[in-house]
Amino acid sequence: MLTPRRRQLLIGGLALVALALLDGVAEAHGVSRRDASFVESIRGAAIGPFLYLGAKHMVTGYDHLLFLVGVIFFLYRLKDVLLYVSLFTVGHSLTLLGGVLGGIHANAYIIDAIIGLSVVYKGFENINGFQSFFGWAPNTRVAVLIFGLFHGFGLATKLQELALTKEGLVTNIVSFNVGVEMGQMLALTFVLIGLTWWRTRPGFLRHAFMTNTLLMTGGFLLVGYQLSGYMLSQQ
Amino acid sequence: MSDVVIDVMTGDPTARLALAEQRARIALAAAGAMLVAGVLLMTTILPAEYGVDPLGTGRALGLTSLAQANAPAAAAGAAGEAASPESLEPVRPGANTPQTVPLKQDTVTFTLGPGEGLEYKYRMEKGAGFVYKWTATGLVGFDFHGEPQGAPKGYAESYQMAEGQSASGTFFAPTPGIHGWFWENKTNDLVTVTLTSSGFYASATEFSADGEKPHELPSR
Repeated sequence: MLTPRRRQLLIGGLALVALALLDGVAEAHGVSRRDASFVESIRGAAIGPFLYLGAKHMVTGYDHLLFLVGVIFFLYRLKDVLLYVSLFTVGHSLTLLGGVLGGIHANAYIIDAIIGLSVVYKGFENINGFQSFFGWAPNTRVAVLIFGLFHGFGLATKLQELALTKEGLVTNIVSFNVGVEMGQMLALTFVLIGLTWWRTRPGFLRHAFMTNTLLMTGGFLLVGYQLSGYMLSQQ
Repeated sequence: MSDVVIDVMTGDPTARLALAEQRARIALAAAGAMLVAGVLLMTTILPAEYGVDPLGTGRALGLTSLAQANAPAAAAGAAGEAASPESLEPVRPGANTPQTVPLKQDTVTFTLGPGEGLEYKYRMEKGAGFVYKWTATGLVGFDFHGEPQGAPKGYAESYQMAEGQSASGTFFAPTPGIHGWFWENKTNDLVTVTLTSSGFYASATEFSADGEKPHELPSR
């Protein structure tokens, strides 16, 4: 069913995605060192820079993006997309604000491993794994909300890595949070356009199984990468 | 949504696989995902990111050197603090930077009340350098930073930010402008900070709650 031309396009697209992922991996923990020293030099409120850093973190944050792709993979109605994305947003905003303001220092490796697990969960659920094996699946809305809470802790640990000054702290965190949402909207727009186009293709359902298997692979990679980082840091 | 998912199992909306077959497919997918992730981790990611090379593939592919290059930053990151700029600063072996302004030396002492802060900065040309050492009688937070000439007011580039009772080093100005320290007394007592430096700066200025105060600097 796949014409050679289409196959070429698909392979090209996948290669691009792989490159983007590799690039993300090279940059490792979200906020790069150059941005970090800039942030540390800021005293007081700086709405613009924090908006930008939040958006950048989301657009280049492959772990958040993989999870979101999994979440909206089978959501055909805009209403559902909005509902699930809102749940995710509420979840991560709560813990981002609460984590930084409350000074809760979660271990970044563990949080990132759980974020990887959220990707595995979503991939597995998208290939109907829970229903087939256990005859029961977790409530997806509750799951998205709960994993949203963990993603927020992840964002909080990234912000806490920077030595934020007390002046303008709330303004800066809220700006970062709003930036995260802007980045998320931007990224989601592109993902939705891509998915919508892909769904009109005859091969979509066949490739969906493979794609979600790849999603699980990515999730397992993140889990293994972060857990081994955690174990090495404990030695 | 569940209808759609069952369609995914078969790739054909009209046919449906038996549950056992479905399970086998899903198990295969999950196991395959885990296997691929495990192989990638063992062969490339662990060697490149952490320098852990269980199969020797990292050495063969030259990936372990990546981990060595990343090591200081990763170690500092794991400890939950920002990597200090020194560990990231490239070493310039045997570089000589001829200096045009006279060599000066400076020793100053400041007394800070509880929670009080103060800045002391040297005016320098790009590439000019100095050696320094400062000590404090109690814990202070400090920010070694510079304000490039012509930059908007309040803009600063931070070189080192930490808490402690002393620091010393060699500094080369990355931009023309004023470069120096902000100290903040973190204790409930008086703290005295003593700074000694020698280098190629033109002048020094103290910034405190009382305003700006220029300092006379003797030439050597």
